[in-house]
Amino acid sequence: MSTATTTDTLVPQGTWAVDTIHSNANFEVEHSGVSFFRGGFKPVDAKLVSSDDGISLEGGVKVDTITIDDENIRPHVLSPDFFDAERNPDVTFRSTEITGAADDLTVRGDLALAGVTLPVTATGRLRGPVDAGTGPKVALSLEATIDRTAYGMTWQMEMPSGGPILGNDVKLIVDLEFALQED
Amino acid sequence: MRILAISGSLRRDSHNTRLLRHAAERAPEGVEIELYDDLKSIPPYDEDDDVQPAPAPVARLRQAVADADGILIATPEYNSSIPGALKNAIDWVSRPRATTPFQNKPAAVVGATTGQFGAIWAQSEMRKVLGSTGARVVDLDLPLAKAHEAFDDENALVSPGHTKRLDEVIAALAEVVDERRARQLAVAA
Repeated sequence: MSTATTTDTLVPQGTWAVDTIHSNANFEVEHSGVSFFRGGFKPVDAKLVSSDDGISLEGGVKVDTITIDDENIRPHVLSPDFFDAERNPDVTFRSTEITGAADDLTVRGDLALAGVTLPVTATGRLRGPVDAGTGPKVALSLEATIDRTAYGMTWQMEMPSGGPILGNDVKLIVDLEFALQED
Repeated sequence: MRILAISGSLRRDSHNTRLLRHAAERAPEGVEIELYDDLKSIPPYDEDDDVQPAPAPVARLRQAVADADGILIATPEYNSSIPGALKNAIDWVSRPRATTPFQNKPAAVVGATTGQFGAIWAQSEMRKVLGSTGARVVDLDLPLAKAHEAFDDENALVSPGHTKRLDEVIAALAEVVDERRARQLAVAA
């Protein structure tokens, strides 16, 4: 879990549970060398813990919740060429260090994806706490870019005009809303 | 475990079919390699014909793939690629994409030609095609070049190197099948 003395006052101490309705985990990857294909996973499971040691974050998604509904692309993306969902049904993240200020946050951690676990650094911001009438809430907005080929997703097709059909860099865009868990 | 072996060559004295027969003889205990012999009866893929019930030869092949624990394909190479009859059969079984029995199905590819390259491009393309169908493709090949000189009178491979590679391909395929079975049992438990 993360330990960072600079973040111990960012969030009131306690365990914060994700509000799945108002949280998203999306990705963006270049397609045809000209556009960006976006998709996501829902629901997102996540937990934020604030203590004297700072804040820590862990969470994950189920691969088969991927929001691609094309009947040809979806099974291919879930197959061994990409996520290999049969062997690796989950994507998980666990922070190792969270540093910075609320509007300039750096979250380092381990991302497990398609059977490979690699360190990832995300940046973003933390907002709140606010009281929305149902208790205190905080929100995390984070972005990171990973190289999908490092996770074994090496599938590629050359376009007839040259150049790869699919980018290797994948931007992860995560927005998480948390509510303070009752003891 | 049952492996369905598909030869991409229709010729009666096909080197690729011979290679698969030899593979069946060399299969280790517990691995049964069954040769599919009806490729010639698969009609050209036509979406108008891709209805229920499917053409009988197609239905039989789809069922054979579904029933098999793994697939072993031997491909010749025509014009630097996969023969049309073989690709056509794969296309039939791959559709509809959402329910194809190829999804996550362990598969391996070998190939023979009378030329000097042993169908390496066709094997590479076959692995790519199988990956697109969702199969779990073993990342090995067996380029059997000069196939007309590669077998002895007993239809066994002459070269110890070829024999070793064939054994490695079968072992790798069997290992993937075993791993998948173990995982399925663990999930079911």
